Amino acid sequence: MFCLQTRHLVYRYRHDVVLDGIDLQVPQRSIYGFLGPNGAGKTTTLRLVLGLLTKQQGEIEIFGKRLQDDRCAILRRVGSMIESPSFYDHLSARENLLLLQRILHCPRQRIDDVLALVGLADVGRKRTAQFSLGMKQRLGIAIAILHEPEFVILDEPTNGLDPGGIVEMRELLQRLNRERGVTLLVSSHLLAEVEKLATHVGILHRGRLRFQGTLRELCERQRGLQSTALRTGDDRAAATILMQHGCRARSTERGLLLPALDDVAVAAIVRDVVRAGIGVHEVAAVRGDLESIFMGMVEDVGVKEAA
Amino acid sequence: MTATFFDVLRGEWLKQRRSLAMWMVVAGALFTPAIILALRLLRYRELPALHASADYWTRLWHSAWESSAVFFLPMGAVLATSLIVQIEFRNNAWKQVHALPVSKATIYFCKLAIILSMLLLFVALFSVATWLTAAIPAVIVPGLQMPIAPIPWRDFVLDDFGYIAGCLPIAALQYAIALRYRNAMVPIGAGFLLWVGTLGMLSTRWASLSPYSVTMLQYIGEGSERKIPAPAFDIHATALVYFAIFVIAGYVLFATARQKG
Repeated sequence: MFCLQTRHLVYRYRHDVVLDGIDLQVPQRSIYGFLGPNGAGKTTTLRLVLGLLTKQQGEIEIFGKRLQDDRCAILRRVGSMIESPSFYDHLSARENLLLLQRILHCPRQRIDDVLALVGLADVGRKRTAQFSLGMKQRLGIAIAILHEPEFVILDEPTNGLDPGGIVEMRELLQRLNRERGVTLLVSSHLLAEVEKLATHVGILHRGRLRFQGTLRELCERQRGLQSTALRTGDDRAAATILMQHGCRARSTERGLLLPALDDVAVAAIVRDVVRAGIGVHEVAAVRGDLESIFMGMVEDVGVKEAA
Repeated sequence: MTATFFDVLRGEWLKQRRSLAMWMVVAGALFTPAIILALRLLRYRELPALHASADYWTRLWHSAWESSAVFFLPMGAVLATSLIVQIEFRNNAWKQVHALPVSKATIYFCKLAIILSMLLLFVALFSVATWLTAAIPAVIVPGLQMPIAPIPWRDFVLDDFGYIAGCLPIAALQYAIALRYRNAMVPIGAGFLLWVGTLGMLSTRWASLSPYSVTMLQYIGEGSERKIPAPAFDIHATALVYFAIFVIAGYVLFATARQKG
């Protein structure tokens, strides 16, 4: 069951195709990391999902209902923070929450609860104009979760936070997901952040969804990119020996690069190279990290499109 | 549960707390009565004779409304409307408003209701402050009594409603423009130009065609001698028709905007 599902979502701005057939599937109770470089179309997708942009083509379903059929009932169960946090800077944090509490019909106690949850309990009466960027970001999160929504959409929630704040934010979002079963759709261009937070990942580039699946599936791709590095006293001679074993080695600046090998194969290769009188200086497993996968997806597209 | 009109209205009202629009309405309403009061207190020796005159309230009312009907009320409507809408643009909050479980009609009409209550507040504050220009000297100046003439309440209340009706088309048109443009100078500039244009039309009998003319025409029409031609149309009926047209047009533009926030 998907909390959010889009089908062939297309959005054009004048002659530019901003989104080209996005089929987003956000499973319930997941933390979905929506990843992509700046300008990939992440914010446009999220704006369409919330009805902030008029849909041109495709379908959007939230909680199994079409957005245009039951907009208010759906939005009652959704919290959001798109781009920068939105609030009134001539009012205090508490007043900002109070005006939303009246509209969203949630208990007044929730104002204190969310302020405490995001670490703003001591500054609730301070005008938000005096808030730092990090405090504003926290208040934006507090606003998004005030009415205890089942689904929260956050666009770059760690923007402006210091490293400590990023860790706190991540822990808060994971706690919301774990303890309250909140489904989170978090967009980011920070790969490391998504890797630490998300259970599911969607990679968007130039308006197209390049990958969608669980973090485990993405990591399996990552394992496919693993290789073994071998540095010897004579790489050329070692490469010839490896070739005789049916193992094609690529010569790099830092030695020989071989396909991923299991422990037995590594031991055999080292034994044969040493027997041939070549010194083995280093054997290492080279891990293809998410960044290389992501850059591979993004660069592949660039090369194909240029061709 | 979907938010009701009243819930959203309470939220909108809270947004006006300490806002520039609220301060401007209060300052604009009190400005002319404050000048009148200051002048009366400076010339306190003339007050006993003035308070004894039979047409005291009518003359006070007419002189107090002079600057307000021509300048403060129409320009106040222009500025207050633009500033009330600008709160959302300045705080980048339209996207939050549109992501709430609230219908577009509720958003549009709640904000309009706040604008109209600001106008109501302006006229109410102005009327009370005008009364205070007589009451305060009566308390402060030794031996001075309240004016002996009875207050023509009915005429004053009717006047107030007339001025409020005169502001309706200004507020509705300014609202439609302000919702459309992020830059506050666009609605303020448009309002100022239309106000100046209306001043230029006042000497013709077609002045009532301008939606910005009603408060001015009402004030001039109440003078003892008519200095301008009689309006071609009933000014208050015209104002109400304009108001209805601008409100509907504004709502259509607001509800059909491709990008919200």
